[in-house]
Amino acid sequence: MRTKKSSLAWLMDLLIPLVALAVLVLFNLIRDPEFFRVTIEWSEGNPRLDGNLISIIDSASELAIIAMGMTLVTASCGGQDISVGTVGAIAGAIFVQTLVRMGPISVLTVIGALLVCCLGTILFKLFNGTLVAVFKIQPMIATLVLYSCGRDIGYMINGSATEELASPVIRAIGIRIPGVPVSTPFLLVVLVGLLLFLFFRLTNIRLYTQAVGVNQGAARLNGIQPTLIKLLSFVILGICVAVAAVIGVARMGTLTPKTLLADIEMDAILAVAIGGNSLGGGKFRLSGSVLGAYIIQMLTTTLQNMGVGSEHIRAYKAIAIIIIVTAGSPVIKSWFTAMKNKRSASADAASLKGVG
Amino acid sequence: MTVQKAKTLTGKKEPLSNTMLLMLVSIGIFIAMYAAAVIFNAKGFRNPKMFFDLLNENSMLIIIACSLTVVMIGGGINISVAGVVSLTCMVDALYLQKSAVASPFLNILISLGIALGIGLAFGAFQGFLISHLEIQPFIVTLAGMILARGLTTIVSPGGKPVDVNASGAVTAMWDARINIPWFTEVTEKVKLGKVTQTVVSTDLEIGTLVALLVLVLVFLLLRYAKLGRNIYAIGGNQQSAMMLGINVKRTRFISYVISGLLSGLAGFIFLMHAPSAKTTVAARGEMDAIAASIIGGTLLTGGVGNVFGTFFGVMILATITKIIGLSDVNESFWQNIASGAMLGLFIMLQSVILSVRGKGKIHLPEWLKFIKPKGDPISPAK
Amino acid sequence: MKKIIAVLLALVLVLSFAAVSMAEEDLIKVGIINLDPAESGYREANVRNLTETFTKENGYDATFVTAPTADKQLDAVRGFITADVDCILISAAETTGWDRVLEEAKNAGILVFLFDRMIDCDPSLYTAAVVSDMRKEGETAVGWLEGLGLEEYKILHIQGQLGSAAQIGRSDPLTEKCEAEANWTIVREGTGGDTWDPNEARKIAEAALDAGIEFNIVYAENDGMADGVVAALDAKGISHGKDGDVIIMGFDCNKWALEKVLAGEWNFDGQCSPFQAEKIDAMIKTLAEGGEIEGLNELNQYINDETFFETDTITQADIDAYGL
Repeated sequence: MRTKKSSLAWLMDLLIPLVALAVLVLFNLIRDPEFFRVTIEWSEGNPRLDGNLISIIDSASELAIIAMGMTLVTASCGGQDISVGTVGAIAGAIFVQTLVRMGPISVLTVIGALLVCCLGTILFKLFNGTLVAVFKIQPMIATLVLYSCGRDIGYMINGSATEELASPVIRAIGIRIPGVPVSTPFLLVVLVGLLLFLFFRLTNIRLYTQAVGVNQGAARLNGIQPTLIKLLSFVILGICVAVAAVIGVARMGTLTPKTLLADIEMDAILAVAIGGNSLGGGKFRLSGSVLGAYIIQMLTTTLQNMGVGSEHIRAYKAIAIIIIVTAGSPVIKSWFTAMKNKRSASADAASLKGVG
Repeated sequence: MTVQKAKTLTGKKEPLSNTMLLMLVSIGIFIAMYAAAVIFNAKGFRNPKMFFDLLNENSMLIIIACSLTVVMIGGGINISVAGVVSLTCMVDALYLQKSAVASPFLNILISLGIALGIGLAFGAFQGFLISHLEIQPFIVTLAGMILARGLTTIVSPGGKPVDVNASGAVTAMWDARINIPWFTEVTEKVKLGKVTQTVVSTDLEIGTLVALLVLVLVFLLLRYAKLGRNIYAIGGNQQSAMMLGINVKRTRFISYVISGLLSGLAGFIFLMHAPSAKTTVAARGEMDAIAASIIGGTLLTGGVGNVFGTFFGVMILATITKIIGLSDVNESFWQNIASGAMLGLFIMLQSVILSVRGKGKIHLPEWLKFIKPKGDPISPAK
Repeated sequence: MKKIIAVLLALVLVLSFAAVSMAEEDLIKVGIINLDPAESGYREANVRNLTETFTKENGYDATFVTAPTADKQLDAVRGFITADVDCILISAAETTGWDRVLEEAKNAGILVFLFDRMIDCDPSLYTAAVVSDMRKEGETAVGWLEGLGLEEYKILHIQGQLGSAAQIGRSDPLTEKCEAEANWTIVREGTGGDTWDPNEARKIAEAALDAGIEFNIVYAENDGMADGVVAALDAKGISHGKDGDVIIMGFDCNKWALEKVLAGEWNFDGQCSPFQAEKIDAMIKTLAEGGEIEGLNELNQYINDETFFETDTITQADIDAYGL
């Protein structure tokens, strides 16, 4: 039951990302009023939504899904998992190898392969989780191990990029289901988001995770098991990584273990931070991270559209991130609050005078 | 270190702080590894030149690991170090390629100045955002890293590598090595059935000497200078540091500036070692530097750390890579997996040691008992 | 209990790989420096060819180092000098910067062989080079394009690893042609930067299509990247291949790529042979028996003979014979 106050609080939490989004949207509209135009194209008798906006939402799907999982891990463990990209490569490899061994590709075999691949990522993520929760190692250090050799494990399982999955089912996952105008990756984002939302609604996980993140000792005294909660968050991240990896593979139809989901860990951490979540753990908002993911993608697409070469994009992206994060910094925030208080104080004083 | 000792509840002098213990462990493992390699005749390890090779190849890593240690002791982190290295390397390479100045010495000076300048700029900018605007260090330095790498790509001519061989300055630097005569072999060897005169010289590069100098200077700074002790203080417990009258903001800012300067220096040194500057210089170097610092006993949480430990951390990483690389494990991915597994084992080992220590259950064997004060179990320092 | 775990872990750490690193006598010691096999299908075939040729049974004690960057490759050469090998084989990441290190190897009496890619240096610094003439590959491709006699050449140019001999060799003839002829234009140029990544190629093509750029030729500098572009074209429903709107060109002749040429989905594939190991093996054995290496040109090179395949003339037999 959302009270008016909590709706406002929700808005305030997301203020920074929403403002950033608004700035980007405005910028693009000014530059090119047609930028956000969405059209319906027809190809092979199937409708398809086309346009920059659609491209952005579509390309950001893997990032959005991983950002959701990353938010949970950051919230409960107070650190970052930098191995998501590399474990994604392992997931992709498991997926491809399982699928190829299962005979002709159909929806059933794909789901089967997806489950096997989820199992694989969960195992690896549990490894990370154990290091963090049981051995009490910092998340960034613990995940450093898989970060450095994850892709090689993926290569070991799969070999180089020679497996080709030429099947309409794969195309349906990576691009779109015939007859559905919206791209499938986006639908998967919605699905994952929905599942997590329901999970939080129907259980107390959200409360427990935040409790563990804010004060582990206090949480334990209250009967919550920090180890279990942390491991659970890693498991959920594992599932997210598996789904994202499958999307990544399905897009291309092949797997390149070296470059699948490359650099996504840094983007995911950025998305979580832009979304207003504290990187030190504690309270979190999934919606913020998803918003952050789309902002990052919109940034990239905007720059690409402006003709900025892919080499230059990184630098501009960094500058934009710095601006966004500076605007959201505690110092600036308190400065704003001080200004607001000063203004409202003088307004009060003026009104008092007026009354008197 | 003084602050460490003051925090012990029992009031007795702490015999072996966590940092020292971890550093000793890393030294021990390094020696054991190297010895095992020599005993089992791993390729090349019987040759003393190998040790110098390891030093020469990792001079850049030593410097950036030091810079990272400084920041981590202060409770922060700097992921941009490798990015700054690549940027300074590229800018210096471009300058040397196009320089109109004739004297090699002047060229070297100017390029060093450029490198330090860039490092300073990054360090100051990031330091300001972190210390005065209180933005989280991970994000700021992550953005810094992306910015630095992005700038490197922008500055580079179409992404092609910049060759500095023609520059007199660089060749002068390369030629300026210290030859170690008693490790240099001049012998006759049989190669493919033919007897040939061979000369295998063992050198110490200038970059390595600079790296070792940096090690010593940073150690002195952290140990004896007021700034150094302040950095330990703000890393250990920020509130207490403030109450002690330390200017936390300024100290933190300076730690990042130092880190930036050292990163710039590392970029300059690297150019003397590599044949060209490319956009991928020092890729993932930041993770190696972090790993080296952790292995050497610096904790991510701050207040704990020692640059000599970091040095051994670098050496351990280098030795592992070298042994695996020259071993019979031929597939590259197995090599990487083996490296990763080593790293993982090491991290677990560290955590086990620390937790065993913390629980006070560690029982020293009789002949080591002189380390421990009479009566008390060893209490955790942090 | 935990202390025992700690000690065990330490022991495992130390002894675990001392065991894998023993040296052997009486075999020819060879150090091989190559790039990452995950980089492309070509590289994987190349690495496999080398590992299968330089075996213990064949009389070699071979050590393989994967060094993807120039500085790591130099470090690897120095490592091999320290390890006192007899021969070093190098596939260079960059064409320059090798002089000093090759001198050191020469002084140490070690024989240096280049394979796959050339180095820019004095030919006396290496014993022999078994390489592909990348430039010729590029010229063949451009010549084939010219032979099509099209009115307009609007080219989407996807480059490989910048600075490598392969990329330079395949790019230069194209860029030169486009500067010389008015109806040849490169409408968009992109690269995987330091990789030959198909995904990057796909993104480049996607961005170009989204921006409304038109092209009728895709000149991708290896098969993987061509595949990436095709994925982008397929997503937008643009036809390609023999009867399509866009001509697809790739390099390396991977088996799956040649099959696409046969099926008419692609138009052209230029060969780049990864099989240099046997030739070098023969050379080393000749020298060991006291003989001299024959068949080298004035730059001490042995150039691989390479061809190309197009949809109209390719056969299944070709795929079986040449496909990687």
